[in-house]
Amino acid sequence: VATALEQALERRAAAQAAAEQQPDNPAAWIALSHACQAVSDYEGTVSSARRAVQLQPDNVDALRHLASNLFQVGPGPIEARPLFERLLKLVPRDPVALHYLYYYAMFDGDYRRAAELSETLDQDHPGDPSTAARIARAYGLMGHSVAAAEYFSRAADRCANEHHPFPHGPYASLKPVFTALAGHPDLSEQLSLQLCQDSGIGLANLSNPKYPDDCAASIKRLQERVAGRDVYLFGFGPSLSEVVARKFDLVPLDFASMTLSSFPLIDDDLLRPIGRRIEFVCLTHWSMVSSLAAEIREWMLAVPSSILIVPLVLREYAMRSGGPEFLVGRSDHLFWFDAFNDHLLPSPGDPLHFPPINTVICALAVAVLARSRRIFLFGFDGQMKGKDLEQAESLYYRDGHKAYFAPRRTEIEVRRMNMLWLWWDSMRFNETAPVVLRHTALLFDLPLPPIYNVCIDSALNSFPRITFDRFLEIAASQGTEP
Amino acid sequence: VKQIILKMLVRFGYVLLRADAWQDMQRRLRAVEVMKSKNESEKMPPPPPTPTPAPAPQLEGELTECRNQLAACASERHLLNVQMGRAQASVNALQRERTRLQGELAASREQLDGADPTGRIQELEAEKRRLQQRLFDLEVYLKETRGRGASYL
Repeated sequence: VATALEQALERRAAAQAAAEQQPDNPAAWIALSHACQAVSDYEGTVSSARRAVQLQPDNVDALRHLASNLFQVGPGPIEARPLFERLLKLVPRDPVALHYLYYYAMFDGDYRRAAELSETLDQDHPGDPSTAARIARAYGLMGHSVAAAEYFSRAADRCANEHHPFPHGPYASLKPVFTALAGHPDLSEQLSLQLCQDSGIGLANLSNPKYPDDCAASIKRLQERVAGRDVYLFGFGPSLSEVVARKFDLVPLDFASMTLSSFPLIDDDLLRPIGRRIEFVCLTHWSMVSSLAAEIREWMLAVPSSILIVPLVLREYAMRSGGPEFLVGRSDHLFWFDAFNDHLLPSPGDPLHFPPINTVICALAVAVLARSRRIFLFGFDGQMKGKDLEQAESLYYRDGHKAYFAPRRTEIEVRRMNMLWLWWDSMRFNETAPVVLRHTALLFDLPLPPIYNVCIDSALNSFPRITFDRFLEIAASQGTEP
Repeated sequence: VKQIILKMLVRFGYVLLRADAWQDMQRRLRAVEVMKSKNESEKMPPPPPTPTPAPAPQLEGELTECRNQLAACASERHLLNVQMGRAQASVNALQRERTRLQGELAASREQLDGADPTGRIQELEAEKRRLQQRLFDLEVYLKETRGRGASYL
């Protein structure tokens, strides 16, 4: 890795020198942008591509590169939208523009346009199951359930072909998802079994060369630390405020605690006041790890049973950027999983790959691996609370708090974009999460724990939604009728 | 003097020619040589017959057939690769199962050797409690999900 990194850094230095020698040449800036991207230098990637677009506003390579990179982070999609529109005007069937403009059409509620954009993409690049699923989603939201089911069915069919008969091939793990969405849950279950087990034994293959060699040991460690307890998974939706207000109700309960990115907020407002600390933290974004590095170090030292749950790609980032050190070495405080493709569910060859649709789906899969008794979700509203976007805490618990580290978080335009992403992620979560968790349980021969969402009006409807009072009844019950 | 020298050369057997006559003779000689070699080549036996080239469509057909065979081989190889991957996963899964069963067997033997069934009984009781709890949790879960119009796991 070090050699590859050194080469990539050398290439960036050469590209930098070339761009400085030819400051008016857009091609030199595009080359520099690509070189920056190869070393995970997001700022450099965007600023170089932006310079190329400034020099030549109709340069389609520059537009494509700048817009698609802006789209990935924070408020970038706002700036990216007119760039994609211009790109589509210049190249009317550009696949990158068609792909990304679909999101904006969906966000606008213009489902007809969303379907048309994806149908055009499907004509030019036929056979992709995810494109058929995109069309299905748009038809579903238009209220055309028959067309939606037909397109989901088509998406399922495309997950296998003569070169990749089921259960082989890159899309095999998605077939049960699309089959269920097409209205065939029983067939979906059969496919999951066929994919994940052989003669009733889970096929999880941990010898995948990407995985650390202590994978099996780290799963065992996780299970030992949870020790068959309930796992309480805390999110940051508006309903978390009720949980914080009733935190002393949690005191007598026996649970392992898990949360996502902004973990100091959960520790400070909820757990420390009742004499506890967070035990498991799942982070999927590099920006969060680097922003919270000091807090993570303190937490790992202070909580002997703490485990940081992180995707393998962050280790690569850490090696490229020289730290933080706690991601580079081996540690009992780390649990690695894989998450690079939204369309890849756990499968025999990559059983620890969870689709990074959002962080909660990854955290839930790890909670299943941890052999928890039950899982309770808190603060996962999955949508805005009320109708007023300007209302404080309508999107997130204490949404102005610095622990969120999100730039321009309070600007109304950015809040609107966050609200739309929340809607989109909830939809994708509901489609995918049940199969992700089922595969995890099947592959590792684990019981699938009952999962409750303690937010009665949550948009995450894959699990029963219950009130906090009902949660207290269920959680306190130990083998007798609650 | 010139005449005397010429007579002496003729006497010694030399033939004297003017330069232009000499060049003319050389030209004729080359023409004769060309004609001679041409005649000789005509007299040579004919070269062995070369195979008659197959008509182009037939060649194309064979080429297509070869390509198809190659694609089929590549496809078969790919399939074998993915099947090998799955077979490897099966081997790993069975090895894990074997390790688990061996562990259970060793534990049972230890208990038998000591002729003390207490440990095993405690294990079975713990297992029974765990299963009862699981059953209870699932019953509660089913009650919670029933009649809500949504399909849960």
